[in-house]
Amino acid sequence: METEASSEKSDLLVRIGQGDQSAVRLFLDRYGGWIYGLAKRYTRRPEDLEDAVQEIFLHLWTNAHRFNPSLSSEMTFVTMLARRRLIDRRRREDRTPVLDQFPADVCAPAVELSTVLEHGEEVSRAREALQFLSMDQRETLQMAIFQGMTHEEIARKTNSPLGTVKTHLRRGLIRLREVLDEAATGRRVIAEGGAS
Amino acid sequence: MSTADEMRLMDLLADRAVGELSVAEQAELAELLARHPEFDENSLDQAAALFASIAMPETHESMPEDLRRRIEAQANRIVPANRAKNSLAFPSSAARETTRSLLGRSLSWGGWILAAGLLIGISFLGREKGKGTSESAARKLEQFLATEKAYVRADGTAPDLKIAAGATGSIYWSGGQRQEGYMKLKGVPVNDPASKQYQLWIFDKERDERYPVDGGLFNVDSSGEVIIPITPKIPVKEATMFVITREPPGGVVVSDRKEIVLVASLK
Repeated sequence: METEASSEKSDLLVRIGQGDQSAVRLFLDRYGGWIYGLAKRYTRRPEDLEDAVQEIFLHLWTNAHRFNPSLSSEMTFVTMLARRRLIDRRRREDRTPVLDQFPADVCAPAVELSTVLEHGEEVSRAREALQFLSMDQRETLQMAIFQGMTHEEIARKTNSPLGTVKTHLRRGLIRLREVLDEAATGRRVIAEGGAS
Repeated sequence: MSTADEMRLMDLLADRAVGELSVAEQAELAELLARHPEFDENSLDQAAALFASIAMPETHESMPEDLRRRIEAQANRIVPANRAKNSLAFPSSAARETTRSLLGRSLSWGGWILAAGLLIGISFLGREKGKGTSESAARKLEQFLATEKAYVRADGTAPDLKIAAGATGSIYWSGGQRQEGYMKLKGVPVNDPASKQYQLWIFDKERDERYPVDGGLFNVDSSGEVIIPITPKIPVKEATMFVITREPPGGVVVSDRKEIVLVASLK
């Protein structure tokens, strides 16, 4: 019998893309909880949560063939597609913030870098890359990406002008991409505000 | 690309990656990406996804059992249909590129990039624009079927109901010296040649599956049955599969496979 341990890290989505139904259960074991938690953070109305999760998985089943293991890990691809669906859904929703409808622990920052889950070379590299971001950039990205907060919500929470929040997010994300790119190609990485 | 364009593109892609793009900005982004197709539009989304996964807490949320059952049932209806796309998937792990470009700008999700590299010179030479069914095409197919004893036939269906719901087709092909073939298609949507055209790709057993042969461009001008001659740009030794995609006018040398219209396999 096939087990999770016997399945290569990047093989499940490839198999699903090829019509292999037996990979579905393993895929749900691996990513079900992650996607569900991610959707909880991005979905404004609790009654929409299950619809959002189903929509993400529908998108994954039909787009599995687009996954290319030579370009990213399965985890990154899955997260990218899930976030896109959640962001699209949010655009369609009433933008009235209703964060307080979820239990506090779901929306609280609770993101300590010491409590990360290891899942491969990509994530280790990305974690290392965070040191090249300023504290403001890192915190703003955490609020936007992990907690799913809007720019306005971040501005209110940090008492910062909207433009500053936008700049932190843009520069932070672009910097993160640059550092990852440099690390992948072996180029020298220069720290924000100084040499490394 | 000018520095100003590049900076603006990066800003817009960053805004999109964190979910804050107005309708006007979406249009601006689409216009900039159309002007700079070489730009990897996924790179910042990937960076954001990586960032999200770094922060993944050790304690997973538990998905409710009934939700999981519904998702599994949904998968059981949908995943088997992916089989039609099986042969279009990326090559086996042994053949995968060993050098990973984590966030490389020049690569997109498509698997036919290298194929295009090989065929780029050939595809632009003597590209013929096929026409919808004509009496001569129907006559030629009749003659072909009557005289060619060694032809193969592949029946196809549409893998994506949004693009060509209910479309079916048969491909008749004779390789070897003859290199002649026809597509008999039914239900393939009529296209506006100024906006989109259909392009045939032929997978050859003798070639790496990443390198399908460009089988020519064509238009469908009737909602009924149409017969289209196949015009491969280079000889096909042993056809294993025929795939029709919908592409911009003039066709592409690299298909991103976003719009697969029909898949007909001989396997």
